[in-house]
Amino acid sequence: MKDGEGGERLEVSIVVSLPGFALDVAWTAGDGVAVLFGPSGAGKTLTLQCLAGLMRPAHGRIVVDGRVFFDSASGVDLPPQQRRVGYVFQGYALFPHLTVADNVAFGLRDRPRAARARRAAEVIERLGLGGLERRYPRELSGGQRQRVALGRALAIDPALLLLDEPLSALDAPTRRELRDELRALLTDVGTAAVVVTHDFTEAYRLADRIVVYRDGRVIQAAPRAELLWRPASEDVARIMGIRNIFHGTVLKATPDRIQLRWRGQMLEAVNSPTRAYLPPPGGPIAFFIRPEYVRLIRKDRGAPDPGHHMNLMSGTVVSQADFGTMWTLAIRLDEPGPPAQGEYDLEVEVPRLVHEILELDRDRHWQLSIHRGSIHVLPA
Amino acid sequence: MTPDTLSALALSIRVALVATLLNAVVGIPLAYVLARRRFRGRGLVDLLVTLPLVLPPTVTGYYLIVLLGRRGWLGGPLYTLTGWSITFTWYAAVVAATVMALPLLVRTARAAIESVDRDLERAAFTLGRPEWRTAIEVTLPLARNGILAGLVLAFARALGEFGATLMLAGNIPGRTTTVPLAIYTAVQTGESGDALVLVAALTALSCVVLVAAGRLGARAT
Amino acid sequence: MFRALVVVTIVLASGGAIAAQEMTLSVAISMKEATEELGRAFMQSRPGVTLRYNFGSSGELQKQIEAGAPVDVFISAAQRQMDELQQKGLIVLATRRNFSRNVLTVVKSADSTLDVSKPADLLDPRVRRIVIGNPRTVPVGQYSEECLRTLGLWERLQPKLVLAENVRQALDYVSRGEVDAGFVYTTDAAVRATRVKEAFRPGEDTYRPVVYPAAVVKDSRQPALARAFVELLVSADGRAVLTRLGFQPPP
Repeated sequence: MKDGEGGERLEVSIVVSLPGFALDVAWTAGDGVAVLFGPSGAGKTLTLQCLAGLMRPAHGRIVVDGRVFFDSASGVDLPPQQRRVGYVFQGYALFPHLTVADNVAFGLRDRPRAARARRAAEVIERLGLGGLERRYPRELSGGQRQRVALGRALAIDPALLLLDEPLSALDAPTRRELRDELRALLTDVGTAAVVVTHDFTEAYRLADRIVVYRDGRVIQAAPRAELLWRPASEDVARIMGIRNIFHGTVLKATPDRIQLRWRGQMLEAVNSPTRAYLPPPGGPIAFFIRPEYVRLIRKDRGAPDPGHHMNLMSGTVVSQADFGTMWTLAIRLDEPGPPAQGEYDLEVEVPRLVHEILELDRDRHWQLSIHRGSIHVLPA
Repeated sequence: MTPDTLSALALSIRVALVATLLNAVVGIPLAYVLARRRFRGRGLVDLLVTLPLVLPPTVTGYYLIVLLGRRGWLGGPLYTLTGWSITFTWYAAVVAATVMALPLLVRTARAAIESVDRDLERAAFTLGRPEWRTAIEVTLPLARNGILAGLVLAFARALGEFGATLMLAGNIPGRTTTVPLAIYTAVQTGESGDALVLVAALTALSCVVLVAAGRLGARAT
Repeated sequence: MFRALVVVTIVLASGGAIAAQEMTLSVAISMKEATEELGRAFMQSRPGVTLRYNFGSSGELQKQIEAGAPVDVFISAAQRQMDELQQKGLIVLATRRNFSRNVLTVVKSADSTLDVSKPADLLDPRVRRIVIGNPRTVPVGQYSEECLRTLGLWERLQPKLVLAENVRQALDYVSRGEVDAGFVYTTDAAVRATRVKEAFRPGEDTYRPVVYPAAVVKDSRQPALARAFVELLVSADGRAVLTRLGFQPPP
């Protein structure tokens, strides 16, 4: 019997009990990078430690590329020394008393000296660290240290790469630069990799598959696009930092469309891709609207066209914020009653150019349209 | 500087060096185990190691006699078997100094080891090093300054040991009279000249030792 | 809580001042039992008087007095220590009295199987360790050295000698079995009769007589009481107690 059938390279199913915290997760990943995403304290780092063998789950199973790392049922528990896992720690954990070269070569002890030196040089070169071999970690910049940590992990030809918040200690420009490099590197190297992050942009950029963690559990595991466009629940949406999450009442639900009432408006949204979500009429429904997909209707082109402009609403811009390349507007609908988000209903993003063309500084009252595909329902 | 004074100095230094060496061999692994391993009886071991620091030296001396005296739990069988007893020999001075100085080394070394980032050790494990090699290649080198400071403190303590030494080794000039004991006797007999020389020598030595310890402790790795 | 602590501390610290009349005696440790017994009688006949004892080797006690210790009476086990105090003018000469004599003996542990019945036996290899008082500070040690030198054994016994800080420590080493033989006074052997036994008594001609002097210390705050106690030592009552405990009458 072959393990990992179905092409899954990584199978994780573990339970860990700690005082005050319980982890109970199960997920799989195929080729590419799996990102564990979620707020701090959700159990992501704990999962990495279990994968590396630094922490023993109470029970469960971990299989990597067909090798059983841990299986409580059959009593298998490989010590970290035997798992060949490349671990990049948060904070990098570089050996301060060793040079860059010695750090990178640390895991290569079991190879003959010549091979060791060759491999280390290869990795150093690959990561753009040439010339820094004799330096010590304290003499390096944050970005350089990160590369050394990566190099040290990659040098051993690991079966699995684990990266814990690899970019959070870096300043913004370095982070962006390294993020892209990291993505390219991970794709290039082709090792099964698991990355932990609490930043959604990072998760999205690095991942092929995202596993969303919260309070010790997995609340969604999906390819990244699916997560972005179709978060499985309001919980996931909130973790991802999605804005404009609302609650309305169902009018009618079909496999294709859901009609709902919200703030006196009748809105139509597409149903979730599984088409299986059929909430009863009169029941509650959660949904979100992406701020950048709310269209302000130009006033110089005549009345709105119902065939083209869907989900028509009107409201006033009660405040706006300048973010340089774009503006964020807070719009309060004309509808009476308390607004959905404090002082306003909808958050809308407009590019700077649009802001200028529409003269939004001067003109505050607008009609809005939202394509039904831009209203995403959140199954309960 | 009489021959007795000189021999007291030489003896004190010899006893302190041997005691510190013994403490290093026993104390550093002990500090590592206490810092990094959980095991049953760990609290008890910790307590036993710390006791000589807290108990009056005469109490510790008493326990040493009970253990190692000619009729002691260990000393008795030894004497019956070999006719040899450790009391009133310079080995007894070494034992007293070792026991009294051990807690200083263990506590300092343990603190130094505990301050080593555990992620460094974990990294070493994932890179294939078994725990004992990680201790030697990563943990101890990084705790080196703290451990050296502990050794230096232990040396200073061993140098100044009086109470337990007097009880177990006695005060025999040329054989077990260390500098603190010699000072005591010199003051008793009104030999203030001798006392002064010994006091100055011991103070100078202790100062050097403490300055060295301070420098080592302050230096970051 | 803090207030209670302060009050307790003050009471404890002033403990000395509360007794109506108090006297401190520095006593050579071989006179411990004798002094305590005589002291009890002294206090009984003088209600309101409290005696405090400071036991140690005569050399140690002498140093303390020289350093200004507030002592009223000094009882020494040898003449030398008293002589030195007298030279320094630290005692009231008129009160100095010799009140008893003691005799050296060699003891071994009560369960010892070694045959030590004469001085030469000390050379036997089975006698591994011999304790004497530290000759530099302890009277019994001074007498022991003198005795051994007279017997021609001092040099040869050097490797076996262990020094004690006072005669009772020497006695203790013997009774604990840490040493094979020890030089103490006959009065000390009697105190530990169950743990040690006398092996032999060196001839009294091998050392100067052990004559115990007592005197009032010059800066005593209770000169009258102090004199009274010294008088007690030489009185008939005092002599009776001393004889019972094994001391010899003074020459």
